Amino acid sequence: MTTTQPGLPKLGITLFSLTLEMRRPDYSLEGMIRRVAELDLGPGLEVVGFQSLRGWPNVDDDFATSFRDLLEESGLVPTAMSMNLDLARRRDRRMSEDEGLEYLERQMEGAKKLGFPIGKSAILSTPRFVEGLARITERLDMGFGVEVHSPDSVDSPHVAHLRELFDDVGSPQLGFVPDFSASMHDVPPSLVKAHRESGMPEELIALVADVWHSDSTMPEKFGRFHEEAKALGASPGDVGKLNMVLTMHGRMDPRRWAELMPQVVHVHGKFYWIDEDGNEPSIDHDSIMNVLVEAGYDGYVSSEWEGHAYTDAASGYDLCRGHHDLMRRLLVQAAETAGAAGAH
Amino acid sequence: MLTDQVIADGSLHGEADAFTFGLRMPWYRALPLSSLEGLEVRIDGSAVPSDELRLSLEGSTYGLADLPPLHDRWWYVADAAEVRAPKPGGITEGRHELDVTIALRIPYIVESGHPLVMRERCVKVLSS
Repeated sequence: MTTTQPGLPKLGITLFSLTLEMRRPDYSLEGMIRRVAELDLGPGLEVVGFQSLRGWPNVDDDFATSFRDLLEESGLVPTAMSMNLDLARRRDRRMSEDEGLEYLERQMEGAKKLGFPIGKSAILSTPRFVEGLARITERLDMGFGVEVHSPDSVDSPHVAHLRELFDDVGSPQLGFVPDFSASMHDVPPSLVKAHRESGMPEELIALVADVWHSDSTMPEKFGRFHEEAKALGASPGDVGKLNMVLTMHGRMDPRRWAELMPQVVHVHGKFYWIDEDGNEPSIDHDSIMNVLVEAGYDGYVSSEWEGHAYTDAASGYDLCRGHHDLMRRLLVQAAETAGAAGAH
Repeated sequence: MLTDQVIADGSLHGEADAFTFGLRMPWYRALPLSSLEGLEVRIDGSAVPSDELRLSLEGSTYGLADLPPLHDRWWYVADAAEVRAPKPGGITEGRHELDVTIALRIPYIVESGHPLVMRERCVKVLSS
């Protein structure tokens, strides 16, 4: 496993990073988990229930036993179950609050059966829903986290509202999962390359990058991008694709994660590429690791490679291996710095 | 990436009055059948009426019009649905261009009151 010193954040992987590998004809869940262990991509293991588990959220007893045994045998630790609130599952109407709570509760039960101590999902941001979640997590003795993911940031209206709701309910089990996509310093070069290679006009790529780097609000950015792209004659398809550059990659200063750390239950190490120097070219991992160490966070970080949405130029296994090497190197440095500063 | 796999390689088969192929979802996790909002199939440039298409998954067969109420029945991400497209006279043995567009409603991504609908097109030349 990629081990880190006691008291420091622990590393792991979400099988979501291996989305393309899952499509190989020789795929099996067991084979994938064994490969993760062979490549030392634990000790933490996170899965997306609806991706990795056929029949989710139903978990039969035999499967639960073999899953837990496999993880133990492999030296892996179940860290978080990535769940989903499928509000728009029905064609005739949205799910109600009660239906939504029941939908998440079933998934939390499935997660517990498999040995996961934490579930994560987007939620309905109402007092009633959050109170319901607090009851579920108390009954099951589990943690629950909402991801803070681009286009949100630690103080976007949505997250500020959730922080208020969580404060009002005061459950120690409810918290947040920072996702590095919210705190980037550049559009991923691997994404720009993929757009270029697919024939996206250069002037549109330049426009969206310029808008991305500007100090305006999200609505202002969308407005400006749409207006100027239209003036350049962009097709609706191209506008839609490049719009995602603005929504999927946020520009928050990574040091601001410090404000959220007291309520963090798990961390998503989102990344897009590891370059020849072993660095992630669009995300300042140095600052993020420093924030985690200074806050005394000793939970897990799940490496989450999302570049598979637009490239298969490298394997998720190899990239996560590179991500672990990067984070471990930075954690050692951060620990030394913190030690020198007397923080521990 | 996943869009390239919407038409399963090597899956085109001819029958007397139809052809079949394997359809994989351009998404990374299981979705309820009610999420499949549209399917358009053209073979060698000629469209098969969508209401004549039939999908088979886990032993059951559906028309597109059967899907809206099926929010408790699941299409597991790893499974290819078999699509049967009627075509009078079937198709000749040999290479054909299959052009498939699939529209999937993503039930957990709701922006400004609207769920995300992914519309992906895959075109492949396959030998039957």
